[in-house]
Amino acid sequence: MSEDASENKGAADSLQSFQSMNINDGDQENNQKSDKQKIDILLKPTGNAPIMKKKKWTVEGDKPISWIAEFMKRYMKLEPQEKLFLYVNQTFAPSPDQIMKNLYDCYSTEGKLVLHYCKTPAWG
Amino acid sequence: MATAEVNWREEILTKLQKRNKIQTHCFQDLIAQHNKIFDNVNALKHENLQLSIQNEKLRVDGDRPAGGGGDSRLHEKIQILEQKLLSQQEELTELHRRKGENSQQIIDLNAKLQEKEKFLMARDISLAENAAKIASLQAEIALFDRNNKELNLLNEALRDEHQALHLAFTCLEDKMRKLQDENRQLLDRLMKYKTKDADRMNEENENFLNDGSKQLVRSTFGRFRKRFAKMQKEIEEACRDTRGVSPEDLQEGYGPVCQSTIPTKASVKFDAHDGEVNAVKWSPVDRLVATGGADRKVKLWEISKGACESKGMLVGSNAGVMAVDFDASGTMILGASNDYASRVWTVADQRLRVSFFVVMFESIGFVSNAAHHS
Amino acid sequence: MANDREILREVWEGKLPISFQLDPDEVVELQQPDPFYLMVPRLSYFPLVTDKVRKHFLRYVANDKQDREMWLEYDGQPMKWHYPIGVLYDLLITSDDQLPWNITVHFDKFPENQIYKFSNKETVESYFMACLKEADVLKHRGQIASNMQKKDHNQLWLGLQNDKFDQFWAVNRKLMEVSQEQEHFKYIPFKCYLDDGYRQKLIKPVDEDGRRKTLQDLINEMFPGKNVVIKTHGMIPPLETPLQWMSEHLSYPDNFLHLCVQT
Repeated sequence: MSEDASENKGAADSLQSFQSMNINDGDQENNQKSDKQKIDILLKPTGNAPIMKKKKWTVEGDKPISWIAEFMKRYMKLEPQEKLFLYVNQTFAPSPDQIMKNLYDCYSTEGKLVLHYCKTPAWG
Repeated sequence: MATAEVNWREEILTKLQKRNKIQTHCFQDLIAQHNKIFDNVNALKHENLQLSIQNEKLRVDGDRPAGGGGDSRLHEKIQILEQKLLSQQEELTELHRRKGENSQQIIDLNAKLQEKEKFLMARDISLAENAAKIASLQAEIALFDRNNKELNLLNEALRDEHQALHLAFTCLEDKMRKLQDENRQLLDRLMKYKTKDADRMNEENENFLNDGSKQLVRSTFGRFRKRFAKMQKEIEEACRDTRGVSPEDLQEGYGPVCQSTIPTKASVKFDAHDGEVNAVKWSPVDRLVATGGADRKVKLWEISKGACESKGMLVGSNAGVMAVDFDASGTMILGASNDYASRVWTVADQRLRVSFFVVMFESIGFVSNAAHHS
Repeated sequence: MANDREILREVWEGKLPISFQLDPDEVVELQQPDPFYLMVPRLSYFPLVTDKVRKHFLRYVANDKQDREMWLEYDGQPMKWHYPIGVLYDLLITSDDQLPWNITVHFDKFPENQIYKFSNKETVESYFMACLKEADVLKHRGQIASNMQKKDHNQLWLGLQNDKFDQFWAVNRKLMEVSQEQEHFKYIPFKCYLDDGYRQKLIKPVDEDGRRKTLQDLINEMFPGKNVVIKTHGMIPPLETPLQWMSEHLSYPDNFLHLCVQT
């Protein structure tokens, strides 16, 4: 969020690496202690949200929630004006600038961060 | 532990108080004051703007002539209103005029209507009059018709009377003619007897002359001759005088002759009709008799050797048959009845041939017959 | 229990003098607008206090830009509206000599890549409530916040929005309660602000032996082997301050401790 141009570029790069990383799932254990920690997330649809074929993802720890949401919107081919809400613990919506590592550190269960997503606000 | 706690809490409190003193309290009043002044400035600016606008307005109004903007505006308004009033008044007068026109039209139309009604009434009256006239005329026509009918009846009655009289007259004439004929026959017979007498006398004379003296005979003869001639002359005169002989003459001179022709014994007697028998006639050719009776029938009878045989009944008359006659050939029969009509039947087939209404008939009888009689 | 009203009062009373100035490039009037001075509560958020500022500057900008969202900038940095004002000040201002705080106001060129849009106050409210819930998840497994009624949420929000200490704390008190058997929160809700964002971790208010953890323990857990200074509410709290007490008394209205880390 600090420098817009580099941020965008970085986002694109991260997406590629994010996807390529998913191909070799087993590597993430080894990368746990590296500079850029990888986070296992599990995406679960709620309400009228479309189901994503692939639920388990691995993502870099410094990615904010807004980045994940944008990626998911692109992945599910939602219209730009459509909204996507992400929830932690089925309780609260994390701040858009909250990074994955913080959420993982605070709210992960059994080594995975579970994020529920839907197209309308669910847990006030 | 307790003192330590007090220490860190006191430290925090002190730090917070210091913070608030430096960051907040130093500026709070200043900024509050500034905000107040700021608001004041804004309010004054606004007021100033308003005032300048008002001032400008007043100045513009002041520049206008004729005693102030307000007055002129009022004046304008009044003018506009006056104009409106004027136009409204014009409209009003226009409407009044139109109203007058309309009422005049209504009056005219009413008058016309009344006229028409009057006309209609007159028409009705004339119609009623005409109807009354027609009724009276029809009554008159009926009256005239009745009169006409009465007259016709009267006329017919008179005609009947006349006919009856006429028939009576012809009967009497016939009777007279028959008597004349009888008279002539009697005269003829008298002449014959006279001639015979004369012949017989001539014979006696001759015989006398032949037996006695001639001289004497001659003289007597001469005398007889003279007497004969004279008698002959008288007879011829009598004969010539047949028409002029009066019944009295006949009665006086020839009474015995008439008495001898009255039938005394009926050879045939039969009931020809129900009621009176008004007419009989012999056929000129056959031994046929035609009779006419009050039972409105003409009947034919054949008389022979003291017997009578009905030959037919001719019907068609509507009243009693008063007279019958045959034509010369005996083929047709004429019957006259009290219904003012005469009818002709043929003898052979006994059918009605002609039925005619004779008003001015002198007497019943076929022309040929009449000619024959005369 | 958050029963030290003296401290709570002092924390709540904290206000900052700010001088708002419109970006000179956006002024279309001949006259430059006067700066707008305002005392803003440290605990509040900028969208809740800048209505007057917006109104004041609106007539100096172009007509087609008046409907746009106003945004604030200090020293070339767009201000993150979702940070409490006090946090922003502690992060950006190093010396009180710079007071009053000069902030530049913009209507044009909203930096969408750096800050989020807040289309209305409801957006701020829902964000605030989400933070409150997250804090309660950490403190009480989310039991208290989710059992609260809508009117309590409203009272919290209106208390903050209208700067009403009693109104706010009447409800916030319940969120600061501890369960009977434990006498402390499950975890301490806090955010440690660094240059590139903030860090969160699960930190209990007591250690395995039941001893009360202090700010020093938190620093040790978060930044092992590093010498850091923690600043919050414009002051540097003593390292021996217990975490449970800090959380009860020095949390912002969103129930988080916002700790600025200075290395």
